[in-house]
Amino acid sequence: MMDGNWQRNFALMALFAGVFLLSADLAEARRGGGRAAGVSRSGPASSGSVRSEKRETMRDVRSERHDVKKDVREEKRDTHRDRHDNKRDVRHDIRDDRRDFREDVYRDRSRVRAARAISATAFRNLSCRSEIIVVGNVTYYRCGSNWFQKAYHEGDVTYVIVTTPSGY
Amino acid sequence: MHISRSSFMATFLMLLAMCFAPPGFAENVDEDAVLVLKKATSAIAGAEKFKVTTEFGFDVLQEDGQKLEFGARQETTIMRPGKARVSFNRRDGFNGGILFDGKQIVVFNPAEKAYAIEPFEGDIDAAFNHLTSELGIPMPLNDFFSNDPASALAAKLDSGYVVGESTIAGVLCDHLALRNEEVDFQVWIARGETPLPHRIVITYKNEDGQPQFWAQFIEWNLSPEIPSKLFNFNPPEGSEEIPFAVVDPVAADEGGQP
Repeated sequence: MMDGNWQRNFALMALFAGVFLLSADLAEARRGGGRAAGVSRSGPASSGSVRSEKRETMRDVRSERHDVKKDVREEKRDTHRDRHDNKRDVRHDIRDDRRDFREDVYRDRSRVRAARAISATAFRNLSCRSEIIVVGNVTYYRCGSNWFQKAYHEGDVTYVIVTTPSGY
Repeated sequence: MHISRSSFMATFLMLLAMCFAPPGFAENVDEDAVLVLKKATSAIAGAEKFKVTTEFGFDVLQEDGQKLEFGARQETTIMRPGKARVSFNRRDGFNGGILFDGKQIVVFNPAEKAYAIEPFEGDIDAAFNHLTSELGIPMPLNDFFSNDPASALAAKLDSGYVVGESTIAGVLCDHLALRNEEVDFQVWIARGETPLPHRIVITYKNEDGQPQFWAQFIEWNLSPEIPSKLFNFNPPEGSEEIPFAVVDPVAADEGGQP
């Protein structure tokens, strides 16, 4: 009897899990998963303005998604390194982001205004399984050594890289 | 030669009006095109409040050279001079809205459980400008929704002419071909008693692939019933306020650290 209940409960849990995963897949498919995940969805014509948009646009989401995946892969390799190396990686990543950001600034004479953002990077989705951490009133999403925060970019809800909150 | 006091006053008032008149259309915009544009912009500007439903699409050039079209259906409600609400349903399922009540701008997306608030005082023209230039939020068609659409369009057009009559969704329109250095701009404006825009096509001719933006004005309502709470914002339960990640050229000029 106990075994029967356990099997039924397990089957129900598997069904719920399946529905959940299917829902997630459908949501991803609607936005475009797989190959479609690399598609650019905005450009000069998306403004609908009689003047062409001349201001800087952030780097292409496609290449950024690729970069995040690469970062995550690198982070997985880093997990066996010691704490000191990990801290160094964090500082290194932040320096890289700042350098990339400054390059964008000098190339395009523009910058992200959100005070906490340290990179001109805006991701539509996080490719990794992020850890959600609330510090004060701010919700952070941690992927490896990168900390993200939700922010509006060009009308989309995106994730931007921010500095590691103090104490972490 | 005797000049009457009344004719002197009339001349004086005319000169005064010319001094304070808004900038007109460029010389190379043909008179008949100006006439059609002025009828349309007067009809829009004359409405203290209106609601318009539009369907729009735009090309996005991909790295491999293929052009893909994306778009949305949008409902815009304006209450002059300082209230606006834009609700949109994007084809990819991303839905949301923009609210301006004269004191703050709110961008919200209930499904994403996210919203952002920017305190801002002014009229809708200033708010639209702030949204596009400071917050990086696209506001398609906002020239038509301006408090002064004639000036908004006149400032951006270098030349234009009437191509001829053309029927859009069963409505007989004047088809106008307009240009500036950056875009070719076509607009179809209804003939008759309600000379409102029914379609536009913008070609970004200097951009790679010459992408286009098009919009169909599906329904104009120049005397809508607007509930006062339409411009209020109450964050849905469980939603989170997030910041804007935007381009700030002024800050960039200062060369500060992010």
